[in-house]
Amino acid sequence: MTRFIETLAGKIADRWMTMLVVPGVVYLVAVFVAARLGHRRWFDLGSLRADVTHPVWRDPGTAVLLLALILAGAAAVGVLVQGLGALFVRVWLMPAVGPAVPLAARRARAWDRADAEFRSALVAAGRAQLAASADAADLRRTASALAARRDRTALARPQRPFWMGDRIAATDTRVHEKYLLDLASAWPRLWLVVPEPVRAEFGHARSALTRQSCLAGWALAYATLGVRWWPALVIGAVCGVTAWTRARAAVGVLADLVESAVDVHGRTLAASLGVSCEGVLTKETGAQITAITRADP
Amino acid sequence: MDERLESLCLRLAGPGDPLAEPGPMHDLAARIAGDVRAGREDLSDELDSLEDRLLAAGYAAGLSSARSPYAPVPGLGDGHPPLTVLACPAGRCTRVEPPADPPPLCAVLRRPLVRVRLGP
Repeated sequence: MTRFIETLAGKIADRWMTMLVVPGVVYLVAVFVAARLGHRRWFDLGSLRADVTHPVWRDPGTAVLLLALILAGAAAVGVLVQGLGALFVRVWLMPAVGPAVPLAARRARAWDRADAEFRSALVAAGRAQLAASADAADLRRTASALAARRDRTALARPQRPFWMGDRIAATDTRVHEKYLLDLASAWPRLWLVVPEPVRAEFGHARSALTRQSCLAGWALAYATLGVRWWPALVIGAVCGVTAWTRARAAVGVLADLVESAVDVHGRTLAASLGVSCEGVLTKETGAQITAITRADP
Repeated sequence: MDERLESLCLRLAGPGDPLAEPGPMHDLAARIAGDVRAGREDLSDELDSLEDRLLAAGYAAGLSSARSPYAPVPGLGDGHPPLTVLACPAGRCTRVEPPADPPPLCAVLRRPLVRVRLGP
């Protein structure tokens, strides 16, 4: 037991150091550089060297105190940035409320336009096929390309201000349209019946999103420092773009896994709830599951 | 207690697993299972051998429980969306509509339009 606790403590300390303290120390160095140099002398290495080699740091007591202060400061900054990261996830996935309403409406208009183009192309391809026209194959390819273009905006009609929120919302919409299954209430039950490796997959995808939200937090922290020292703004921009791109990928994986879990393990959920399910999961079965899981008065 | 035996136990029953499908790896895994049933204690050499075979066959986790997390296939593109339209249920007119649920009714035949899959 002692060995287990020691290993666990070691792992937590390791993770704490990697996730919070190390980036925190780097950030504190950037804060120091920004404070000392500013915009005009942004690359004045000589002045920095003079600060670092100042005789006062040769005193062991001062050095130890400084090290302790840096570690404590780095941990505090790390915790703060982690909180910022959680805030980013909330913003990325937020519903269309308040000032976000026009953003969601704009996305919905873009999707409607793309959908109308796709539907016109689909009808044209349908007419061509029924008439055995020579250009039927080309028209099908055009319709496929337009479907893909619409899906890149969102897989279902957008309801949220950002792509990531819509990606998750589209999963809920698609599962509901396909099976009449209420994902929000079915998910905890589904979680209980899926095998451990499937849960591990969700864990990986969720952790990937958390890591990228943390990176977005660091991006904001560096961008703020850019007010005093412009290179920090560049660092912030690079971190921000990276975090946004990777977070989108992580949300895509998470949404794909959720939808796949319903497709693959939906029948197990039905059986576990005592709902008869012969063959594939159907809307009737999904509706019965929803009636049990919602339990609304 | 051997973690590798746990993996063997799970994978022998796992459909699609190389240890569950007929072949030399399955034969070795079945032999080890037989030894366990016979009460043999030290099977580390046999488990090592099975793990070597798994590694040689490209199963990088061997007999450990480590798994590679899911990742989408890069460059796969947009795939092939199934394209369907709704058309005349008797095939007598050129009416074509985009998919809808429920499908609209043909006012002449008083039957819903039928789904037609587009493709070769």
